[in-house]
Amino acid sequence: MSASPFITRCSKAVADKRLQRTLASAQAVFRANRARGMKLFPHFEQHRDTACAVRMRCLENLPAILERLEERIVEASGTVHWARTGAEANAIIADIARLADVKKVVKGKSMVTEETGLNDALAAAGVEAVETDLGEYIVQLAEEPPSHIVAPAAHKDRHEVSQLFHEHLGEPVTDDIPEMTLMARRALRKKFLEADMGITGANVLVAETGSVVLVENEGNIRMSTTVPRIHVAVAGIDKAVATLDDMTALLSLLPRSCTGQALSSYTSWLTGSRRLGEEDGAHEFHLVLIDNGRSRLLSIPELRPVLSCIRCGACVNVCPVYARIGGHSYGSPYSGPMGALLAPLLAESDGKDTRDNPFAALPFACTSCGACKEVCPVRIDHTGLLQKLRERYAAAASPMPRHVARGARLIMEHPGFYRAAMNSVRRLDPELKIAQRLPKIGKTLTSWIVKRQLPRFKTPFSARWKRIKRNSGGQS
Amino acid sequence: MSSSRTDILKSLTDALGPGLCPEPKQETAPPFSHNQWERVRFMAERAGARFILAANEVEAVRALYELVEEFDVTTAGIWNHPLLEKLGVADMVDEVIRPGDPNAIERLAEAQMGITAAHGILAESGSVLVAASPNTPRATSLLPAVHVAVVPSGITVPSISMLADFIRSQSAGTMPPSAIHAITGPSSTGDIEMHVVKGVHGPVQCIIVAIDE
Repeated sequence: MSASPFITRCSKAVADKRLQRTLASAQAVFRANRARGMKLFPHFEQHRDTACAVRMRCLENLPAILERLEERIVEASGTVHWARTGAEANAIIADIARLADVKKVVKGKSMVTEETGLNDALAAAGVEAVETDLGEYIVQLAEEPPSHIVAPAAHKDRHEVSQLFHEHLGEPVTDDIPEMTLMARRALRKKFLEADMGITGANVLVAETGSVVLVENEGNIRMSTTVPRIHVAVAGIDKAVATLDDMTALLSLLPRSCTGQALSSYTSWLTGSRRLGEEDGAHEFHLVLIDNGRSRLLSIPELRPVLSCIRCGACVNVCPVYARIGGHSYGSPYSGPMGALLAPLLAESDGKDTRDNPFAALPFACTSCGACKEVCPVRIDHTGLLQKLRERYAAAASPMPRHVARGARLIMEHPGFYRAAMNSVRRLDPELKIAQRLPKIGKTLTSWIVKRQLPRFKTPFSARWKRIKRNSGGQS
Repeated sequence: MSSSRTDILKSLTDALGPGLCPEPKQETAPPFSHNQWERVRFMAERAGARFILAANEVEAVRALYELVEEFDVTTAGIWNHPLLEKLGVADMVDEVIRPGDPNAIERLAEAQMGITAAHGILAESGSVLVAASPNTPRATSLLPAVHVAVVPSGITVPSISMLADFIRSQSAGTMPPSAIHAITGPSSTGDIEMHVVKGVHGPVQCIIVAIDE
């Protein structure tokens, strides 16, 4: 087994000391903020039940909801576009830009446009697209993809950022973060005022009113939707809910799960284009609805809950695997537990079936600790779903060869075999030294232990467990 | 792209059936409750806003004068709003940018203060609720360095879940205003090393002047 690109990226990330420090502190801050916010939010469990039910109900009724949404947006003088694939979405947006003679675009943070690779498509169409979320702006200057759904530049420290601003903006080098923020404000203010078009994602789409809900802290999304003459919102079809009440059920949980804020600095409900007599807001409003594998995913009932994700990032912030490998290792705009689910499943629609799926290895990068499931505001069972994906991609990416898996299964399923196997290994080869020299089994074992520690068989686990309990002062 | 539309709806319908979207609720009365100033203060200050509670309109006028002085305001964007007229806000500054100004965006970007009158105040999060219209443009609460929202009594929306009825109450039929914003403290970012900085693209300060009468 040669190391896959995924494993190579992981190894590189794990060896990067600076990245390890930055990741650990980002996760710690996110978790502390969330914990502080949740302290002020007494009915978390009930809200989760509601939000989970809302998401599943809306997904199951999506056709009617999307048609109502379209109807309302058209009533508010907006235009709705439908895109089967990311490429189709990019072409639609490039067309809107061409027809309106757009040269400069300002963008709010949008994972779905990362999914479609919109920036490259716009550049090819001769349109300059500037990311305006501070983190996205930083990674755009660095010509890197975002590494975290909420904090795209979570992998960069202040010195790297200052260096970028020095090179690209001609600003003096500093280690003062507020000063760096001010540099970005100055550079981007100019971009906002010059832009012809603002492109944003959408946190929620409300069919009842045709509204796009946008949640942000920096004000860059409000700028992108207030100043330029055209606003294009881009969203996966999964973002649509039926009613305003469905929307508030999600909004109660979204910022709290993410940053611990009751609400982010700005929550905007935008409906259609600016009305008669208004002096700001876009003259032209477009919504681009993207399928890109989502309808296909919805046709598999047991995997449907994956799409109920509201992209809060809470699971990313508790994931021990993300903490070590960071966002870039995933090779997808979606990282952490939700990324390990979404990336391979959305890729399946590109004609990549389970065997040649480029993200097939991601579901195996999970310790099954379940921390993600505990924080998920819409009660996604990441661990259970990831196990289903492991089955799905076993042939393509399981690190365990088929014959070994079959043997292991036989042993695990029969207590008698298990005991016999354990006893003989303990007596004959407790360090698995002989086993490593055996043909077939040996090769598998050696490749397995490159990245893993082998279990020790010298003393039975039951005996070790007693010792562990004793050492921890009787607390289990 | 009607064929994409048909294709997507077809594959969704094949997967899920046609689905149901409930008929919208009729326009509702605003879900306003009694004032909850202390809750608003706690949450707004937690989000980095300043909260000033004026016992009456006279005190509110004094508070606004003090703010104009504190921030050396010479130019301010001010909404056309009966409450702001009544408080005489326009007389407090040298130069006023009114809704309808042909260079509103450029001028507001240079203004030291934007003064609005809230359509609601959300107690659960300490957010100011504002709705766009020709007399109440969006940029007034966004472009100037400081945003001051004057909040009269009797427009408290208790919880985030009641925002649904608040939005309905602002709508004509099923159509809400072109933009509603919930503003919770000043703009902020934590994108560099998770270090929180107040004041990014929006105002550096968000100040609530509530009138308790």
